[in-house]
Amino acid sequence: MNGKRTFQFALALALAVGAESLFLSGEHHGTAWWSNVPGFFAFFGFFVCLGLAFFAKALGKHWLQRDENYYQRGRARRD
Amino acid sequence: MIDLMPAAPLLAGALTLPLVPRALRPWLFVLSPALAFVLLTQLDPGATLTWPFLRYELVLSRVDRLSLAFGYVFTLVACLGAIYGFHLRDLGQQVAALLYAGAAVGVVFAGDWLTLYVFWEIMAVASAWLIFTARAGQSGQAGMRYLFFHLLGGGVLLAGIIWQAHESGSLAFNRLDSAGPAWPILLGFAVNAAIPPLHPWLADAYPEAPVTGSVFLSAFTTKAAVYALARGFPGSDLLVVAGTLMALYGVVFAILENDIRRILSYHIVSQVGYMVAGIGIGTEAALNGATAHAFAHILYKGLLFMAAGAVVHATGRRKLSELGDLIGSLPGVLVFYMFGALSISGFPLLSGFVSKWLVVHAAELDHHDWVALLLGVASVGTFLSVGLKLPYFTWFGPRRAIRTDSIPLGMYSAMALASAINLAIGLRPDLFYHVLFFAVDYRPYAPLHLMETAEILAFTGLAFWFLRRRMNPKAALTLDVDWFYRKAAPWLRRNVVLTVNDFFAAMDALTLAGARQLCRLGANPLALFDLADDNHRTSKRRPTDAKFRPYDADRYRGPVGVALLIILGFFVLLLGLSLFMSPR
Repeated sequence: MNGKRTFQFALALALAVGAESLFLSGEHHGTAWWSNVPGFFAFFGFFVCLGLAFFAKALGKHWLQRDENYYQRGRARRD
Repeated sequence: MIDLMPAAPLLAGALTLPLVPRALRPWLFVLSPALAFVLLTQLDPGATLTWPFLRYELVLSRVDRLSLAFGYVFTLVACLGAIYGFHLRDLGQQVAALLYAGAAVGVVFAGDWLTLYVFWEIMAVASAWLIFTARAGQSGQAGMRYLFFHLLGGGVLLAGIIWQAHESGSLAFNRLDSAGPAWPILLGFAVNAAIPPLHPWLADAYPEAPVTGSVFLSAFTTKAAVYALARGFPGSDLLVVAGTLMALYGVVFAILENDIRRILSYHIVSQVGYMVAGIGIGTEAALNGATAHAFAHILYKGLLFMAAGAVVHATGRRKLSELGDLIGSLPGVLVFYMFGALSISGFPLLSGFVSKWLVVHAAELDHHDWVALLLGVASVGTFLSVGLKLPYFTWFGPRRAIRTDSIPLGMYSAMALASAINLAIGLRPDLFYHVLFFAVDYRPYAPLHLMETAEILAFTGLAFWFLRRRMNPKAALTLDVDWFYRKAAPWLRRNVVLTVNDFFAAMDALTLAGARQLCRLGANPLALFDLADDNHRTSKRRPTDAKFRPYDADRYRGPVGVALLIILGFFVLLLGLSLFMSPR
């Protein structure tokens, strides 16, 4: 797979989608302020994805992740 | 009135499978759910099947739009699962799967608490059996933890049901108010709905099940609980919070996971969160959304488990860190996987798009803006893990020497069918909405909504492209709430089981030794005074037990000669006396 080509294509698509939202108007189904901000959901998708990934990775690194035999080791000691 | 329980074809299939010839079993395996589906289409909403029991009238079957919606999709996915497992020659797995499906259908048509409870427990046992049929790796232990969790949940549910029956004097399964018995019942439902912190059984056990078994597991337990919540607790504010949190919880844990079926399992938790939140909001639109999402979810999640299972079946590997570059060997599976992955991500033209946003839209309508936004966050996380990370690292990841077995035709057929159904739902949402509880007034393909969805998905994809090197799968285990009982288990086993066992064993030995001594004493009470002569030392009959000598009456009996001497002497005496004392 040509990584650079794919990336350029994805970027172009994303930007096109983001740009088009600036011009599109219609019935907003939300009542919150953010549903009236043009392009809000583009930022939302991008930053929420980054945020979730970093949050989860940090949670795993500093707290939740152990080596794969974590529970088996406990059992070996018991018996 | 109807004459037959909707679950009957499935339960009958489970019971007759062992009796039919081996070659016919796969056909019966597919036919039973198909028959159940046909039976459902013949039912009219409003029909009931009752059975008098003690002083109650049990409602074995109550047909309405809500139970029919769940019934259709349950039998449909059971049929797809059976086609997927057509190659199986494992009677145990086939019977367990049909029994499990039958019990799930039984739950959604149960009109009273007792019938619900009986099917609820059959479901727990059959699903645990299905996990055990993997007979490999961790399946035994994970299945046992699963069974314990569900039996405990079932016990709490039963307590609530008894309390409810006592308080209301009726067994009818209807909406509960938030009085006393509602709490244990809610807790019992929450266990099966996998609402954190009662969820760890799901991600623990589903990936350990056999490949076909996990397709069935992904469909029934949690969604039967969603049905029960929709029936018993619509509009409960607690569920709005719980549902939103679980949608996020599943997503965060899925990002950390490495096992492909465990990633999908955490996304069951997340997706069920949408349904639970919808039920909590409780408006017509929200309940529709919850039901629609359960319907679509069962179909696309079944498809995802089929595709992930096909990868496991073909490669024998299940971890992202051990998979990679399968695009050359399993391209067809990727195509079907993406149908499921894009559905769950809410991609336009597919089933998730017309169901997921129904819940979000209902939240917006009911001014739960933050709920809608947080469900949007969960949606981004879903696309990240299931739509991007999993397929990227499985099919395009680093090149490894992976030998792949061929995938049975049945697996491909089931995946193709499931993909087609997901596509059909996405293309014709009006037909899909027709099966729902209330009439639906929602246009998923409004231009602005399409645009918003496209923005979210496109920019999530873009963010993943930047992140992809940091997202490299790591062979690690992620602690979850199960840490509490898996860590506590050795301690509990040591102190509650082993110590008590040792004590019992010691008491046992002591009692036996006492009894043995008592036996010896009973056999020879004189041994107590050690009156034994030297005979026993020469006895060779019981060399191991030199002191033991059974009582022998002869030993303490005088010789016969002595008795004769005494008798003779007596006669001599008599003779003498008669001689002297005889009258002359």
